[in-house]
Amino acid sequence: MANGTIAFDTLETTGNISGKTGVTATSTDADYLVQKCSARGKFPGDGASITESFNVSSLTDTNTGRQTPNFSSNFNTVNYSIGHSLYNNISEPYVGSQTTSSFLHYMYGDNNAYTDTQNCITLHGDMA
Amino acid sequence: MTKIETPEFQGTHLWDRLCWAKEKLEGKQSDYRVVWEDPDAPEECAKVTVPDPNWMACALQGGILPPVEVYWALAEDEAKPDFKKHTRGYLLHNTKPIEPMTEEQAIEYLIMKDIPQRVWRDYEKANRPRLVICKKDQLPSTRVWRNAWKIDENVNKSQEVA
Repeated sequence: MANGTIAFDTLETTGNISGKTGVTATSTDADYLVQKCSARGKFPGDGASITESFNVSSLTDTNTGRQTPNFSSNFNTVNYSIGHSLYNNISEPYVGSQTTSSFLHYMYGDNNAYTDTQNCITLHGDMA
Repeated sequence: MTKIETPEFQGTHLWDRLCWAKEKLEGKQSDYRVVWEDPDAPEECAKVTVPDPNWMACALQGGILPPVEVYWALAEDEAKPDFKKHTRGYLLHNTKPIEPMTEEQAIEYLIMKDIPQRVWRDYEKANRPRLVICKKDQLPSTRVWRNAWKIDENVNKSQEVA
């Protein structure tokens, strides 16, 4: 087997990172990298305010342990990915009613009841 | 403080405008809350909508957000049974952005954007209140009994909302 070589001087950067529709950014554009998720938010358990966010227009406290974040810029489909982290030992967190502009975030606790829990969400997907 | 000029954003992807706003504008925590009940689910408790500080900053700044009718158009498309993906997303980006709003106007816009139309359309003609705009200190300070909240039917006569 012939030994391969890597010629570093042939590696080049394009100067662009392909990303969102209509978006290009240089490889050193840190702001773009920070914001690269499509939407994100950190919400207190009672849903009474919004601690930190991007591409969120409002949060609806739907009920105990149920929150609906609404987005400023729609996703293209309902198949975007949702990641969430919870600040409590919640046994069954799940999402429902996923539309291109919002979703319903359920936090179902170990006490077999919905429980208010501080939570963070990150969303990734193609934008409309 | 020098007012930041909004670039000419018509034709710029809305998501990119939000990136600009996140970097340039200071978030505005609103004291307003919208309390509403869904007439299609009268047994459910009242819901409380809080505006996002970054979104509110965009609304106050002007030249960033599209007219609310754009969101209605996309919602109409999405409601169709054969909907798979948006084909009119350009409406968000190519429609002329709206001018600066007052905080009160922004709340009205937000209601029409994020709350179902069946709640706010003709709400003043309903036989009981189903939508109230209030200040956060008019809501109970604890949410222990949150899932039993209903809008006070005498809301127009008292300062208590729920």
